[in-house]
Amino acid sequence: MKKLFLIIGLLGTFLYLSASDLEFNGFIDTYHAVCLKGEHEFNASRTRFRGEMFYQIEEASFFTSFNATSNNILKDETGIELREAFIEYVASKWDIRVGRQIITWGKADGMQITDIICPGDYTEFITRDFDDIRIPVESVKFRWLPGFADFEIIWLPFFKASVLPSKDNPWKISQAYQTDNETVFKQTIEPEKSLENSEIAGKISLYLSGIDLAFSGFYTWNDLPTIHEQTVNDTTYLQPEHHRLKYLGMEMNKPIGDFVVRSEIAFYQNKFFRNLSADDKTDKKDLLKAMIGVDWYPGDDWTFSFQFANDMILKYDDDFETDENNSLATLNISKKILRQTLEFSNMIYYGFNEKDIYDQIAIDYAVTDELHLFCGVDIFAGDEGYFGSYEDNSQIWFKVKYSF
Amino acid sequence: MKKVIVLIVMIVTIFQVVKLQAIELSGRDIMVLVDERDDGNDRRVEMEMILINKRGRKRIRQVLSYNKDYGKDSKTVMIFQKPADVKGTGFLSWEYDDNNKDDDRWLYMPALKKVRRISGSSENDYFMGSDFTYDDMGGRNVDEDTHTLLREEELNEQLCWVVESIPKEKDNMYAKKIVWVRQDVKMSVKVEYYDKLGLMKTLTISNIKQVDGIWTAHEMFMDNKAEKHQTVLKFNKININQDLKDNMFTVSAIERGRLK
Repeated sequence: MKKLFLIIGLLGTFLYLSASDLEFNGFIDTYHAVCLKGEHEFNASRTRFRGEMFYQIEEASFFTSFNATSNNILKDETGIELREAFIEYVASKWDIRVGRQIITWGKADGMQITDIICPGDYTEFITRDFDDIRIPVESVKFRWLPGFADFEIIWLPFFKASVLPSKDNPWKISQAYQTDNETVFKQTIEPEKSLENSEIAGKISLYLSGIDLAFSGFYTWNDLPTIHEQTVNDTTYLQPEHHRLKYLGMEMNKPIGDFVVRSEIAFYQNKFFRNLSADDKTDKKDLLKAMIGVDWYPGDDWTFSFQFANDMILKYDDDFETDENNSLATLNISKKILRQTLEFSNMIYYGFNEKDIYDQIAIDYAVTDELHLFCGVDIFAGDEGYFGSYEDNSQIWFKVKYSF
Repeated sequence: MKKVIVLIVMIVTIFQVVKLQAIELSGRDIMVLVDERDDGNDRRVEMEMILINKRGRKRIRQVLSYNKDYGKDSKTVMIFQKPADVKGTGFLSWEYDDNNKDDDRWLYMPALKKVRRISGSSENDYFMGSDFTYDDMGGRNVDEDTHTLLREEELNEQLCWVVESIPKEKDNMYAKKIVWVRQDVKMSVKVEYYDKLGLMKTLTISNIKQVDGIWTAHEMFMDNKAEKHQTVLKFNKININQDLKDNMFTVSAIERGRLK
């Protein structure tokens, strides 16, 4: 009841504020997904109100957005969440943004090669919209903009981990750490909140005639914990722990006629992998990730987008559980008709190692500019792998979204 | 008597010279006059786009547009204000006079907080569901078409040149265009677009007034007969020669979702 009053209060406040100089926007969406197999249980059922507020005084401005969510499957997600809240100052040659914000890097779609500033929310795996998967981070982003290039420095004082599905979530990851012994899962060790444990990133971006280039570095923590094993007598203790990670990356965009070639390369130093011969079943190695993609705009509102990515563990050890090379390809085809009010899209992910597939077929119909109806199917296929392990989660879904 | 003869000869000569000048103007010359007429060095426009379907239902988009000339090249940035689902979407374009060089284009999508490089060569795609292609919006160079002066005639009591423009490239969606150019202000006021089957659509440019001493169109109406759809472009607030800063026409500017 308290929550209801809080939501009504917030709505009232925002409606009042929207009558003043404040810009107030947002949307209401409701999303429901039913499993195609078994007893056709709901994989997701949630309704959300998103409020966004912007106010500007000369060169300074502030922006905030929040979600008020009712989730029928994941009860913990019901409630009000502050999504972004930041203050920005824009000068002629620089700008600064301070607060909780979403920062996006990279040229790839649906892949994390260089887009690693914001951790991921995988509560519903990757079936959510891309913008819902990124978790906002408390940070200071400063950009020096002399004209010939953009220089960006980001400081993240507090570590934030990625969110994985847990408990009764239909998207819960199957237990990968089964042993013959009794297993005890310990509390995850996260870095303490101190200046030494903060994260810092830098990036130089060049937007030139005929090509975009970017070079970046990040002194960060691994957003997903490493599971260290320790066996004492007949009990195996599993200790999840986040570790420091150093990253260097490069991005490129090159338009050629009707095509745009996109590429990313990232080098991760000292990333942990599961090594069956090591005492604690982990070992750290360097990782090289690369992606090349092509977008084709043949006209008539068709878009074709293909991506190929490969992760390669350097100085590979045969006892590693992960393959030395891990390859993934995506193909996205979309077509708009009826004056761009009806869009068909098909995004397919294919994992080469496990030969598993995730295929999302979707339709987006704009009843009006404000009201969109969506429906689609998510098909998972394969016995193992990132997508194959969700084979039983193939689902049909619909969504209604009203923007204001 | 001698003076009268001299005067008559002079008048006849002047008329002949003027006539010769008019005849000597080729279709290309006229389109160059249109292209190179003084339209200011930079422009800020609050644009309203009204899409009208065959049942008369309207969809309205509002766009804030800035444009600046860099010699024969130009840069444009557009930020969408309405409808709500595309608010904050930014479009940046660097347009080149050189026919052999594709324009550079970037699109900022606020939901993804991401800038995407898009192809600069798809000039035939319709812009935001309207009846205007990127080419129709003014992104076409003079020498991409072969121009022929057909005749001179009055349109709405204004003397116009009528020019036929045929695209040089084979894959263009238009077979030809017939353009009416007002002679006094050197502006196109009507364009008929033809495909192989006949007339596709007609553009009427109206409400031409001076803004800061420069002749400027305030309304464009595209009647797409082939698809029974219409688009009205209204330029509600126009400012010219405001000395717009170069840093407005950058990716870092559209990444903010609004221009400051």
